[in-house]
Amino acid sequence: MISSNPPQNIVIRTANLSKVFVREGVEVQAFDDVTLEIPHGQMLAIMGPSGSGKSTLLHVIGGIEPASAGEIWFDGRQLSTLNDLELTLLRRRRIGFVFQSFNLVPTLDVIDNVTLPLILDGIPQRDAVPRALECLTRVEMSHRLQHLPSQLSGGEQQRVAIARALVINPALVLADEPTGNLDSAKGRDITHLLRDVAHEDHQTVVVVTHDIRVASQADRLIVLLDGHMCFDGKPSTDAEWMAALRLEIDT
Amino acid sequence: MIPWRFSWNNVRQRPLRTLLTILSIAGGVAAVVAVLQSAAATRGQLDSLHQTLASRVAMEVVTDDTSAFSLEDAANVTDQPGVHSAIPVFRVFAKILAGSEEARGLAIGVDLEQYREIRDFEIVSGRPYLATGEVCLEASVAERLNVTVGDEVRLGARGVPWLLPKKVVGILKPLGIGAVEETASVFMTLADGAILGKAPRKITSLQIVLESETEPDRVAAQIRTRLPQNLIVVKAASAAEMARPTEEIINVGLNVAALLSVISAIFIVVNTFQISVAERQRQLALLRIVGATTEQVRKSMYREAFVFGAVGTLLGIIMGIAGSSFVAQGVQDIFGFVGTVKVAIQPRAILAGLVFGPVITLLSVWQPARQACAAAPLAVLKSTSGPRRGFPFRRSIQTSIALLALAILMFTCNWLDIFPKWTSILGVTLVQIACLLFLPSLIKPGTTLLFAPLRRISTIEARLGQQQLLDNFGRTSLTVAVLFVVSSISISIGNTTLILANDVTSWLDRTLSSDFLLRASSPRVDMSETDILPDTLEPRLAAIPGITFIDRISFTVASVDGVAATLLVRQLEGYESLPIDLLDGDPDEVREKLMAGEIVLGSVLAHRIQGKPGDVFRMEISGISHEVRVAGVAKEYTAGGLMIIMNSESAQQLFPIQPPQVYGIRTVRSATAEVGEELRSIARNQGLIFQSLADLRELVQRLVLGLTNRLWMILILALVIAAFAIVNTLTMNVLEQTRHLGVLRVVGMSRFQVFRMFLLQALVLGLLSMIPAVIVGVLMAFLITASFRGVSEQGVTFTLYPTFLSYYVACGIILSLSAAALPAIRAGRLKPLEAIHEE
Repeated sequence: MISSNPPQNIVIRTANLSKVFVREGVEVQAFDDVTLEIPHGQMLAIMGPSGSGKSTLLHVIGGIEPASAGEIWFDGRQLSTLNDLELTLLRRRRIGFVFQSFNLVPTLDVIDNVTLPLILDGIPQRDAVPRALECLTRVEMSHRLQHLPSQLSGGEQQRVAIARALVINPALVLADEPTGNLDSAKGRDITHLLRDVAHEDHQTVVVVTHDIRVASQADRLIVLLDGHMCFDGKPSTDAEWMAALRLEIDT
Repeated sequence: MIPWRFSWNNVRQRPLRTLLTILSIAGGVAAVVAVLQSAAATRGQLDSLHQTLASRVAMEVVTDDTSAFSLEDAANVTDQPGVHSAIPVFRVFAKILAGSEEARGLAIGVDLEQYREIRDFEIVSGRPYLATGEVCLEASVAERLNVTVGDEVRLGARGVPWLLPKKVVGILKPLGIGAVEETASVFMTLADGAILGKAPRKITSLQIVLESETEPDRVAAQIRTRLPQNLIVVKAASAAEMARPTEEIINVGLNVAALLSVISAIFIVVNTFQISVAERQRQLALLRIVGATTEQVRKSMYREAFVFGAVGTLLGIIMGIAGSSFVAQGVQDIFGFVGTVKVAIQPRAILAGLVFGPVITLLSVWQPARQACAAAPLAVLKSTSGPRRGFPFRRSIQTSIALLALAILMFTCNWLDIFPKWTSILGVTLVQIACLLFLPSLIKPGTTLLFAPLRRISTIEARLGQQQLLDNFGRTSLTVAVLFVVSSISISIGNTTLILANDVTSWLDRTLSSDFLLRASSPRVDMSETDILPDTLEPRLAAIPGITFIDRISFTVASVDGVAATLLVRQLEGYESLPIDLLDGDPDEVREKLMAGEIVLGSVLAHRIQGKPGDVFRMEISGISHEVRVAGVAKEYTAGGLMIIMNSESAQQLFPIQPPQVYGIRTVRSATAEVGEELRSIARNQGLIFQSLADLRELVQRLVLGLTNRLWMILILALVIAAFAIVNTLTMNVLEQTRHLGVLRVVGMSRFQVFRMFLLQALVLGLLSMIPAVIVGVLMAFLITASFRGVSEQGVTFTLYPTFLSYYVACGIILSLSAAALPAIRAGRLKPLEAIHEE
């Protein structure tokens, strides 16, 4: 039994978390009985084959998808007790999202995309812009402030998306296949950026990925198979990595 | 060929979109059918009125002093080439007594078979009279006197000391709308009529019917040469001519209504198809990627459009027929027709609907289909909001300026009577098209201006909303255009109707200075053939305490400068302020000149004869003519404005004037109620019509209220139809931006913020349309007032109605916001995760 009063350094805690989708009358189990704790400043990678439920787990942790069973606490707040507005405010102020397809607003330029969460929160433009500039400088995009997303490369768009996720100074950054649409060099840059966010800024980063090079940069690896968590740890040797990955390869 | 299944699946998957498309087409077709149906019915009613007023009588031979004459004096008239027939008639005002009941009216002595040639009627009971001593009574008179076939009545006339007993052998009912305004109450043989009129074997009029396509003026001139000195030929079509101004105003209303319905319908259908096709651009691009040719895609779109067009057209025709009674009743109420008119199915209206629906549907799909097929499929798939094309601003502004210049030229020529009057309608259409072409240039500065204050309230929502509207420039422009067209035309019609209604009310206030009116019968449109009041009435009125003045009012058919008109004679010396709504001339000066024998011209008559104060014209009544000077020009709605006003004393010195037909009675204020009761009792006993000023005012107010209520219903209905455009546009914005809305929700935009973003868009769309619509609508109302003959001739001056405009704009904005509610709620309810994955 997990205590509902977790240690102070835990950001996310789940207990027996399950998610079932009903599609055209058929129940599909996305994941089942996931129990874990993610501390501050940790970079956690979630791996697993397609359809194993890893993206769904990320969405449930981020409060954009409700769990079917079990509980989830964010900084001690039980998400199932929050209404839509409270969940929206939680996302707006504490959680940053990064997607595989970047999902920048195409009609807004770089600076407007990054300031968006702050402006939504009622922060005046004059205060929002310096914060956005700081984040864009960090992701090395401060030179393309007035460019529209369509004028940027994939890697640049993802950097802007990360800046948008970081601008609110979130407790948790959730990244769903952040390198999936990028070439290996750009993917490596983004991975390092996310690792720095966790290690230097002590913000928790959860990355869903298929890429072992991304996962190898993480502090911890979780492997999901058919919705069940079958590995949780940090493979330190090649053998341990192989053990974890073999499971995946076997499937 | 792309299989039907593809189209069918689209319909099934987007039932709301399909319904909206079909409803847009149906709404457009319904509007066209309803307006054409009701216009045809109203015009039919007008034609009937016109025909009846004009009768088939082209002219009549009468004496120059309105006395009777011998038929032999005009015997050779029938031999004139071009004359079809000449019907002798004896007319005399008579008193009809049946037991204790009494009625007054025109008695006509005529051969009933011959009378059929000039008037339509039917014998509702009994038979036509055949011999002396037999009469037929008009149905309403028989009912009032409680007389049936076989009863006896007694007839009396001025100067006949005894009453003549007659046997009622038939009840006769005039047919046609105008026929009920024929005040003849009793019909008898020509000989009996002459005896009643104390002129045995004589007639009062020889009514002449011409062969078809005969030139009346030429025949009249020939007849004049054959007549003795005391007989004159007068045109008999004065009533019809006098109904022309009213007819012209009605035609203006119907034409503008037809214009409104056609332009609105076109824009609504075009807007719907633009959006419907834009929504499916990704699907169409996919089809092309998997091998469909642009020709196949285009054909498939036309095929779908044709099916929608066919279903929408059939639905629209049914809706149009159902709605036409409502529209027709509205038009007829507005223009004061009496009685409900059934709207028969008009084949032309159905045919117009059958052509309009499919044609406008196929034309509407042409541009979006061309655009969709021209875009590179891969580019469409990569873009989330479809291909963008630059708008040719410069060309559109240049065309707009050219059209405006042409419209100004047209209005000027129309005003100067160089162009025919229908060109005013063309002018209004040109102004509309010019403004529509100019409108896209206002979108960007307009949205910037309107969103600026909104950004202070809702920074990000306003910003994103503005961005989205500008990003979908074509759609935004089209939506603004739909609302603009409907609103500007509605505002111009509304403002013009209010101008006319208030003009009539204020004219009545100025000219009705008597507390009570007593008249012998209801007046005709041209005020001619109104019964005279009994001689015994005036002494009886004079004996009533509290009456300060009796104005003896009479109407006589006259002509000025060859134009038929009605002479209104009043005792103007009895009024402290002149009871004339003067348009030209100082009231005190005009009063003095009227006393000196000058005349005041009604505004329409003044316009027809180009008369102004100081001008001298030849005026003729019953063959007696004098030169008269014009003292002033007055607004007149009586007899369609074809009116001459003279003071009683001077009129009687110059012309043979009819005895009083109306008494205008003024009272001391403290005795008004008692006098009113007394007069009401006299009217009841003597079969007269009693009207108090309060009654008349209430009647007019009720008419104006009914008119404005119905006007509001029509205008709001038009706005509701136009609001579909906003529903369309915002729904498309939601559909197209689903993924981005999902992102916004994920990064923290609340449902309410999403909802508010769409409300702000609707508010700005509403304002973007309403502000120019108010300006153009008011301008068009001004142009209609100034340049449409029939309106301008009445001397109607343009007035702005700020309250009407504010209410209309408020209704427009409320409807815009309401139209946004559905898409806004839909956007707010989007699930962020599903929205993000939407392709």
